[in-house]
Order: sequence, then C-alpha cells, then structure tokens
Amino acid sequence: MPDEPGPDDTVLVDTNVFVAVGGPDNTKYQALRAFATDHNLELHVPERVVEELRTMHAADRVEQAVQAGWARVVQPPEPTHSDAIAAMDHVRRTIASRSDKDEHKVEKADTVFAGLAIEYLHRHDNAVFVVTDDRVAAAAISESLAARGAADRVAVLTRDDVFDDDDDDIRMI
Amino acid sequence: MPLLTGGDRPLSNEPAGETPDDVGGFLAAATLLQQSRLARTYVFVCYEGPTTIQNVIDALAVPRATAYDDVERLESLGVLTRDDDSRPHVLHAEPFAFVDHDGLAITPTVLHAVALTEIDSDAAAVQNRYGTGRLVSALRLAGEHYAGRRTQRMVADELGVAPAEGMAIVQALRPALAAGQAQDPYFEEVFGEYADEIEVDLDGTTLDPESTDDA
Repeated sequence: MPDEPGPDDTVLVDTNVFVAVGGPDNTKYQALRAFATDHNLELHVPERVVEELRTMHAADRVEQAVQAGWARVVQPPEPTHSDAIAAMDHVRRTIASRSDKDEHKVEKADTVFAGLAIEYLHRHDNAVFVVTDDRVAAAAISESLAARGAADRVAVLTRDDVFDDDDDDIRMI
Repeated sequence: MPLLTGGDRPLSNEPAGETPDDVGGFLAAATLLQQSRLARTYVFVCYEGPTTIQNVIDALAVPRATAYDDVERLESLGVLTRDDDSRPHVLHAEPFAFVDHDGLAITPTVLHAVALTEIDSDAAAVQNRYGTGRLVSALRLAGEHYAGRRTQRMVADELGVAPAEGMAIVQALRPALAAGQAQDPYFEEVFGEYADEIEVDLDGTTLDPESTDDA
C-alpha cells in the first residue's frame, strides 16, 4: 500500500464521501478539506459524482471545494486496458457473491473506481487513491486491486482514514 | 407491555400466562409509527429507562409541556408506565415487537428510525417524499449494507431512490442500527439471519451522552 497521498498522486472521490461529510459548515466537511489541504491534494471528482450529488441539491459541496482549490471535477477516461476491465469484473463478481445477486444487478458505478484506478496507473507513474464511504465496495475494490498485483501503488481510503467520526457530533436520537 | 404476536404467529420467550393484547398493541405500534415525536420519547425511555421526565426533557431538548403530554399519551397507549410512588416519578417502557404474518416487524429499532425523522433531515426527507413504509424498508436495507451484503448504490436501487438519496439514508440510520443491536431484544425480528453481522461504528449502548453523569 502506498504511503499518504501527495500532490502528484491521483485521488478519486466517490459520491458517498460528499454525502457523508454534509455541507461546508459541517465539521466533517472541514475535516475532508483539511485532509486535502494538509496533503496538498486536488481531489479528483468525476463528473458523474457531481451529477449524483445534484439530485439531492448537494453539488455545491464540490463546487465550493473546486473554488477553494482542493478539488477538481474530472471527466475520467473509460477504463479500456484489459487489467482495468478485469479489475471491474472482479469487483462485480465479489459484490454479486456477497449480496446473493446476479452480476448484472451490480451497479457499474460501484465497479468503475477499480477500473479507473488501474487505468490511471497505466497512464501515470504516481500512486492512485480511491476514497469511498461504502465499506462493501471498498472491500471488493481492495481485493480486486490486490489480485492484480497493484496493491503497492493503489489504496482505498474510507471514512476512518479521511474524516474520522467524533461520536459526540452524532445525535443518537 | 406484553410481547405481541401478529395473529397466530407467536414470538418467543415471553413468560407463560401473560395474554398478549393484540388490538391494543397493534394500535400502539401503528400510532408510534405515524407519530415520530411520540416514537422518539418511547424509544428514549425504552432504551434509557428507568428514567425521569426531566431526563427526557434534557436529553431530547423538548419543552416541558410536550414531554408531559407525550408521556401521558404513551401511558394511555399502554407502552409506558409511570411510578407515582417515587419522587420524581420514574418512567419505564418495556420493549415490544409487533410482527405480522409476512414477517414485517415493528420493534424499538424500527420506531427509532421513525424517531430520527425528528432530528435528521435525510431521514425526514425520505419519509416526507416516500412515506414511512419506505423508511422502514430503508432501515432493513441499511442493515444489509452494514452486514456487508449490499453496496449503498444497491440499497438506493432496491429502494427506488436516487443514488445520493440512498447513500444519505443509509448513513442517517446508523444510530438506530447501533442502538438497536445493543439494546433491542427483537433486533433479529427485523434483520433475520444477518442481525449479528451488522457492524456500525457508533456506540449504541446509550442514547444520551450525559447519562453516565446522571447515574
């Protein structure tokens, strides 16, 4: 697993991260911003993620980050490398088996980050990070990347790595 | 409060000789499902009790008159008791489960999900837009996510909502899952075989951060 992400690495962020952190006034959002700025990162937010956020009127969470310089909206390449396709197939099979569903029921959006990570690796020399708050997708993606021998250059980061929850912030009832 | 059955399907381990009051229980369950503020007070007393009205007022940040009204209504529904012999009065609420023939279960965990609509805008949005039935479905599917069996996007798809909405509701229901797993004796009635596999990284043993100070 690569070290902490640096400014030359590609850090891809999934929709659920911006859903989980809440609006710009929220402490979790500020923790995400601190994670990005402390590491000198420009988070890569696929255009599709922004579209998904728009359905719940939350696209401003990305727009403000873009304006502040710690995120940018990207149109990622379609994964075409055979390793990338294989990684996506692996994620699809893993999720289908855990959920007892047919493979075609697995959302492409859940598999695409594994493919993108591999695709970026083949195009650039630097490390790739995928940030997601979906532990089921995260586990499948990590497994798939390890199976491709990519674990030393790609890492999946989740909630605990990026915007740690302070239980006191959460109203239980 | 007796353990309820749905028609002829008995639940388990209730002491023999206690007669379930199906109609009263059904009314109580239905009322709490529809009235999130009452559900919130019930679940708080159920999980935190025995407790006092003052604790309800402080922990839920509700006006005194509201707390007294709600306690009175919960008493008349038969789901809460008030011990008048002590000062201050001690409130107590037994957990109960209502399960119908199709396996739909109404337990404290389900009522907690309804209660969350009072304080969480994502839970409230799902209830307002799609109804309480969909909120309860979301709870079961969120349980499957935290048991490692569904991605958040699959939950959204099965729930028939947009991906971001599905992600938001899965995350919003974490307190109900954490507290239910720790404190709802009928948790399995809602989640079945994967109840033990659910992992939520919140402390569900207390709803009230101040409760240890009050002990």
